[in-house]
Amino acid sequence: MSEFAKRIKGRLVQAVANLTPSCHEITRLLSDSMERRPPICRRILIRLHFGICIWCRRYGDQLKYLRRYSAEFSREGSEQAGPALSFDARERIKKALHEPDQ
Amino acid sequence: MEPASRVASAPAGAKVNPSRWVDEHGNCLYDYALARVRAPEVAEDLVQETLLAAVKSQGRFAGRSSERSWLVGILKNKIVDYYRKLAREISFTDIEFFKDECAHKFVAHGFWNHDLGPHEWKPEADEVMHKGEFWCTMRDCLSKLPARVADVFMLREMDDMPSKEICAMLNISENNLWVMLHRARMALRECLEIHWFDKVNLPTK
Repeated sequence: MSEFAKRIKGRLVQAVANLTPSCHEITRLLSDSMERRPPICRRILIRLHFGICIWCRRYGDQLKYLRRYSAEFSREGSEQAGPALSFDARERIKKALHEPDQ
Repeated sequence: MEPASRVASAPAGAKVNPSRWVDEHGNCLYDYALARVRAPEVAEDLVQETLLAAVKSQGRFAGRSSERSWLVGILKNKIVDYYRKLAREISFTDIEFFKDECAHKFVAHGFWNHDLGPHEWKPEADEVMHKGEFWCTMRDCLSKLPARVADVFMLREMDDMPSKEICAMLNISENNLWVMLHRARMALRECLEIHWFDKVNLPTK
């Protein structure tokens, strides 16, 4: 890349950095966008920011992975390594179920 | 693994032996409850209440779904009732946890410190769900969240309960909920990166 092109790119990156929210703010916005779809202008600013910041891009990706893992955890995780109902608890429950209405 | 799906295992009106329910579904119901309430005694009570309610209303079980999903449906309602009741006694707002939001990872004006920003997780991130040890790590990371934050996060993420419903059930403001979720996600991401992804992948910048 020529020196001139590098300078232009540098200016562009700086401009986008000034225009878009900071990375710290972006982490909050990305989490909030999982709760409520942000307005279009905000979505554009986030996309623009992603163009100059690989870390925020990764953060956004990783929040999506977190969501998948959490949803799966309740199915997969507890079946894999979850504790079982103890023998005492089972017997207690069986007893309670056979007794007349309490 | 669910036994061969029992759709209306007995003719309508015939009584079911509830001990069979404990043997066949007890563990599954217990795990489901425990993941959401995180206290073994409470989970046991909820299983008992669920089966009691099921015994009382077994005539209404028309066999439209499997026996297990019917029981889990009752348990879900019991869990909601449990949280509603608890929220009348204690506050579910915790905005102290992770208050600094990894401030040390950001430089002036709030940009990531390039040496401390998120590492690349792929391709491992797509493959972990098949690995048993990953779920142990996930469980450990979740257990590091303080109780109320973990409750809120589990309810939102595991069952996809809408924010508004969680706020109504737990008596917290929407803004506080979102702050708690943001910080829980940040903390979990951090924990999984340190304890899993950095150990598997070479950290890349």
